[in-house]
Amino acid sequence: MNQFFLVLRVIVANWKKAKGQLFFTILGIAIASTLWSSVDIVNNQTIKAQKRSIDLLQTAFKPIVIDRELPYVSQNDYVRLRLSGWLVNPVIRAPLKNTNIIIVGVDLLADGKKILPSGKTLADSNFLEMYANGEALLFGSGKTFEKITNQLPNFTRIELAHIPEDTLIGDIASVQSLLNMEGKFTYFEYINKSLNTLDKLPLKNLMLIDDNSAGEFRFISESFTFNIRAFGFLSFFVGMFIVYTSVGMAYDQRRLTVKILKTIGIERTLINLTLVTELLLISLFSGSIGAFGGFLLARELLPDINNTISNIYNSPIDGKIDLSISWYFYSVLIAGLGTLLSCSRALLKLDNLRPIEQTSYKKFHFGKSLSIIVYAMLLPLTFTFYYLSMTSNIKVANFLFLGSVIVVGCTLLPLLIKLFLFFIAKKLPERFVLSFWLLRDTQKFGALLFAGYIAFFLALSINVGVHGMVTSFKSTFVEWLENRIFAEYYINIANERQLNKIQDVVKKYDGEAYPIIKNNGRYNEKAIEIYGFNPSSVYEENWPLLDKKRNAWDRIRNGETIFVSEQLSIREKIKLDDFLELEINDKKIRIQVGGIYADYGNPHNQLMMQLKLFKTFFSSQIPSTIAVKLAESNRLNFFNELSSKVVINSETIINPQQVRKISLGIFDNTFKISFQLALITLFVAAFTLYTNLISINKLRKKDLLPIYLIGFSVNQVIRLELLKIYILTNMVCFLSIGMGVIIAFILSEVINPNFFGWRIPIQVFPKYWLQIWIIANIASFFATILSFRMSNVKTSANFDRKILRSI
Amino acid sequence: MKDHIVEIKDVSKIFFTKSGSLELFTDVNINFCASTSYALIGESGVGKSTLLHIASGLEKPSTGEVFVGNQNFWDLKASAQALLRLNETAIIFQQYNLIPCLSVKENIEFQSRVNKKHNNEYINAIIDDLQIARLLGEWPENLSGGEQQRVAIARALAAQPKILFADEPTGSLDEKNSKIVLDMLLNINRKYNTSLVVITHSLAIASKLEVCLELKSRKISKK
Repeated sequence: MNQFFLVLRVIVANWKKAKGQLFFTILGIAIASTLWSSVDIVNNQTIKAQKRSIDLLQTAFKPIVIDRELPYVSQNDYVRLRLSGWLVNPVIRAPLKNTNIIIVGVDLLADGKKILPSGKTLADSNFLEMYANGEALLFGSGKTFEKITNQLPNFTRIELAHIPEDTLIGDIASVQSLLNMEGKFTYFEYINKSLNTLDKLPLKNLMLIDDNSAGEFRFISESFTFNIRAFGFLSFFVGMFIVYTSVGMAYDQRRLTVKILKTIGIERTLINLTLVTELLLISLFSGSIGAFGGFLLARELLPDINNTISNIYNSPIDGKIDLSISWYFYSVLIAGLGTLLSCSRALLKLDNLRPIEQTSYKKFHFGKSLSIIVYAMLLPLTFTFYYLSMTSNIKVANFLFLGSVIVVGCTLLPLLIKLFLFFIAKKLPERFVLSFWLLRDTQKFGALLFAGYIAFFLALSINVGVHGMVTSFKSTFVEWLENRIFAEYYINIANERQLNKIQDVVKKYDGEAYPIIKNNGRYNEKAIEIYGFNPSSVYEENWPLLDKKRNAWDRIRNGETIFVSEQLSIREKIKLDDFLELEINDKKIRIQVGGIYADYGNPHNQLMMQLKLFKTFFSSQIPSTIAVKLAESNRLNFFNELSSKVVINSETIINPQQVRKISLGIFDNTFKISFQLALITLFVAAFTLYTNLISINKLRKKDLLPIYLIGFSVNQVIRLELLKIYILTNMVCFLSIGMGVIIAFILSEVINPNFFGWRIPIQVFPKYWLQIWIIANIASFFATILSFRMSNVKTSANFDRKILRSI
Repeated sequence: MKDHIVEIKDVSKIFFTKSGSLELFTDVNINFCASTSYALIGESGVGKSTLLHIASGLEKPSTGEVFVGNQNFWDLKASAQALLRLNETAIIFQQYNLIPCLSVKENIEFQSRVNKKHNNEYINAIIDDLQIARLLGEWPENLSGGEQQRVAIARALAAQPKILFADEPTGSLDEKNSKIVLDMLLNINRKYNTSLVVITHSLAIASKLEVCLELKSRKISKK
């Protein structure tokens, strides 16, 4: 142990001579783990919110109403719901302290039936009398009561064998006071006979969820988690390049120390152990800073994410950030693993270091051989991941495929740069001696420089890729939305009388009314939304179908076919002309698919059928909305008359402009997090390049001395260095754009269809590429200039003095 | 008859290069005995340093055996080899090889602390003998070549090795400093009974050592 600490002391003492590298190592790990841990917090919050509602749904008897953000609903919510005509029963559901028993509080008078065996009522037994006498009743099985012999003395225990083990049911007021939840409930059970999904809750803080929601929440949660996790991982990866270079350089400087340690007989294992211990100590410290940074970043990002998942998917959210010791350790563990991984090459190099140089032609170089094995495996792995993403439901395969394509790109980048340098060196006229020296110098410090450029390449290509996908999506979405919202007014219908009145007014002003009606059905054991509509020429002109037969509109008008949404077609692998077996309102129908339409932003499985066909399943249902088309001159009069004849409010009549605005707002929000993370990644990459250039400048000071002694000036070298960085940056930009287009293509063709259920036609955005190109050039220019400044290479005199002192 | 510290038996060394194999030396047999000083001479490129590395356990011979005490060095596990190097031998290079992040004092004490032979009185005596007391707080980079070499010798001796290998210890020093360093090595050999093996090009230096071995035409011979 003594020996271990002595060696560790020597190893750690090396940082005294490499304070800059220590700073950048700490900073690199801290930045990387900040990004990772913030994403982790965001994901945990999302998953927690989804899990809450899924857990509740799994145990609830009916559709339930929960609060969007809080883990409880209030007495006040209950009163307001009942006053609005909503039939709901409050329920409390919580674990009993220090046990694995769940205690459920219900309104015994309203909900008593479900406690008792079937066919019995409270009145059949003396429970009602006991309840009326103010006794706190607690129902449960004998086995459950045995587990809490000494607990809950104030309750009167009633054994009912049919209540599942580890569940207790009591009167809601008594359970409230037991759990200190006065004025609060876990959720409300919705007790209308059948759930009409078009019912709108009068309170904005509440949301109605049913059995179908559980699956949707899981789907949304997974999609979001994967999306954000992938970005977090990429940012983490880019951040770790800083660690890779700073530790690589620091380890190069300690080669002599390690050589001496090996020469005097310190065991290789002990040296490696101390090196790993040192890295873990650094990552513990930096990871802790990163965890704190992650918390701050998550606090900034979370409102946007909550906004998105709450608005677009009507999904519950969790506004508060929960931090736990296990999350902290997990963040630090990830920082440690990332550090070890990014330092593995430097560690292997030191491990392979011999006390003396040995010449052996057949020398086996573990690091090099490992690289060759990894390179050889990359292509088959990429194909395997591609195959799995296209054929299986393994969602992580999609990101592994994208990841492996990016790794292939990163592997090829240094090779392409080397080829380029080799080509230039061949073609350069002999009189450009300084340029030739610079090329050789670039090749010498290639490993460090390429690491910086790989980070840069990653960030640029991710930016181009994400922008390409999102902007293509947006432009497709806007066009689609414009077509989809073809009418001047969309009016929600409350009842048949109102419908008739509205239709009369529409007729009077020569308008056209298009009723939209919706209900639910099942396909392949899964819930689907079914829309009934009049497939008139307006729809034919405005609703572009992604895939259709030539007479698709005629056939749907005749009720021979249906149209399915792209999401449903991708998820259930439905093709044009397939026959679907649908189960609608206890009836079955076998019908052919005549077209596939886009329905961006909607996570539900959906299909559309002719209105008459729809009515065969739901004969008494009236349309929920009518779209009204009017000549411009009639619009004002129509609106005035409609307002005077029909009671309408802001919720009844929908302004299409408002819908467009809201939809685009939701759209922008959905991808805000992706853009934010992509930009952070670009910033981190520019910083990585900067730290690399500093490292290189420090390492090459001795190499520069002969150049100055020959008579070249500092300014000449700086100018040439800038030219070199300019050429390399532009080359990397060019390759990044190519890689970005590939990333956009994969996001659009593989990831989006598998995660969200839609495929977007990819477009190119040269204007954005130019912007990114300029940003990259500015960033690399400043990185070069600042790195010269940081390396004290500002003035000739200072530079020469420094150089001479260092040899 | 003195005990042997390191014995080299039928050792040869072949290097494989792109242009083919190169035999540096063959059937080399040497007994390095206790308290004896050896000079190893030969032209540049004959393999003196390689032979020294083989003798000190830093490099494996192509054929033959190396015994440290009675133990066949290359039959031992890596950890046992490291332990022998740590306790029995020390090596001084032409380029001093001091640990740059440790002060002079820390450099001197380091190996002795690791092999648990740290003895303050003993180390102070060496420091006095080598006249480096005033340098103890300095960093290696601030020392002259002669000073760095003396610190390297002090570090090697502080670990109380049975045998000290020196690979051209005066190669990068001027005449005055070379003489100082050599006198110190001889003094140490006598005072602390440490065997000494010195690679040198100088016949004048070789003549001051007890045994002179010459590596020539791939063979070793006494001169």
